[in-house]
Amino acid sequence: MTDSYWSLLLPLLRGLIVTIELAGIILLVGTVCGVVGGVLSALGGITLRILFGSIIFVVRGIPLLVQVFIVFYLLPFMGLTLSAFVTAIIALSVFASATIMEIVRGGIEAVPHGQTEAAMAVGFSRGQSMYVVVLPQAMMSILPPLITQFVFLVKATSIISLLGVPEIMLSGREVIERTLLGFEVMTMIWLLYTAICYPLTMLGRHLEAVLSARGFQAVKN
Amino acid sequence: MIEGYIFNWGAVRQALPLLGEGLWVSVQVAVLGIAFGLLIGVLVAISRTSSNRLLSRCGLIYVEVMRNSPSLVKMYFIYFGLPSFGLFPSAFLSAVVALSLHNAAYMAEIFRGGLQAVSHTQQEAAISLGMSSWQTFWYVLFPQAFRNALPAFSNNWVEIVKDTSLTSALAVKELFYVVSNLISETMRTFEFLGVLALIYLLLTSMLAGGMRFVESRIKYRR
Repeated sequence: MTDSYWSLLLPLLRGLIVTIELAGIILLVGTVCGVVGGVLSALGGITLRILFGSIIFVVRGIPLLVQVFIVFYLLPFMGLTLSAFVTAIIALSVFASATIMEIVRGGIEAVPHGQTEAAMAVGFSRGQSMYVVVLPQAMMSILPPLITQFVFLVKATSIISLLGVPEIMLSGREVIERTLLGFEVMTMIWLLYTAICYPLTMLGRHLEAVLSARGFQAVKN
Repeated sequence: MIEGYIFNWGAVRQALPLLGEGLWVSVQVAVLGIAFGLLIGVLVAISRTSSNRLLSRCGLIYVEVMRNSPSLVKMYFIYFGLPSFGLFPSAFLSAVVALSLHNAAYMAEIFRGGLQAVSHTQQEAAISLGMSSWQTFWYVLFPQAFRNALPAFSNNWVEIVKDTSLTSALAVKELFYVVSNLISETMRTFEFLGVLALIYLLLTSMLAGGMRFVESRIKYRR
């Protein structure tokens, strides 16, 4: 009996590695682009704000599955034929960047304006006061919602199974079709996702507790 | 941007009745998911805030078990997993149950936040007036907590509307499923994707806008 459970688990673990790769790349790209975009939209003028605002409106208003589909059909038409894996990374990274950008912008705007004014009064430039004074304070309130968003993004990679990337959900479906052991396979997948996401959730909650003890308020996502 | 693609909206016009049917199924899944999710969520929130250790532990376990995996996992679990026990739920039922159970965890946390934001003196005042604990909850705590939770509920409900597209994985004949079939039949890819995106954008912004209106009315009356 244990033998057959191993034969179920092995394909799932192979899928899990793909999920972790996907999630890792998306989180990295999303965080870098999100922080840069968030700072730019907090510093920038009205045009940049409207541009980023409308991107976020669209990205938040349409199901991620539809966005991923649009990217899947659009890229080949623009002359880019990429593997499903790379296309999935592009589509999810756009979503990750936009949502993280909004969190970062919220965090920056939550820092009292007096901080920027004081920094500029002692001779910092706009960029310096952002980098040296505002951003470190904003980071504190950004961290808990950022980690919540990380958990959301890890879970969102499951959508990619519907486009044929062999991550854990698709591997699971294949194993179910082969063995008909739906209950066992789905329980394993449930546990594997929990094994990734639960520690992250706990980290987020811990950070929130630590930060609120120090007098920082987490931004609402 | 899309070179060599000639837009032809005739196919979309012909498919309007089909799109309407798909939209109706999506709306049903969303409304049922929100309603049952809210019901379960409020119950879990009550057990989370209960002074009974066992009850509050159970509530916490429910929230963590549900929150740390995708809703797609629950859909597959119900649709592919329950047949192992001789139960064969339909795709529609699996979708609704999975979305309700998944989002109930989020709504439980939101409603718990709403409950905790109600001043403790409200409860004391209600008890001192001779209200039973049930009356205290239903007439005093619940309405205030619900009002506090409304903005966050609105975000979660938008998520549910968007998540209905995932139920196409179980071949529920909702909007996304209908459209992806239409695309492979007619090859009018970008027309249909454009219409699909527009419909979802309208749905989610109408829901968010409607909720904002309700919030403003409630605030006004207070």
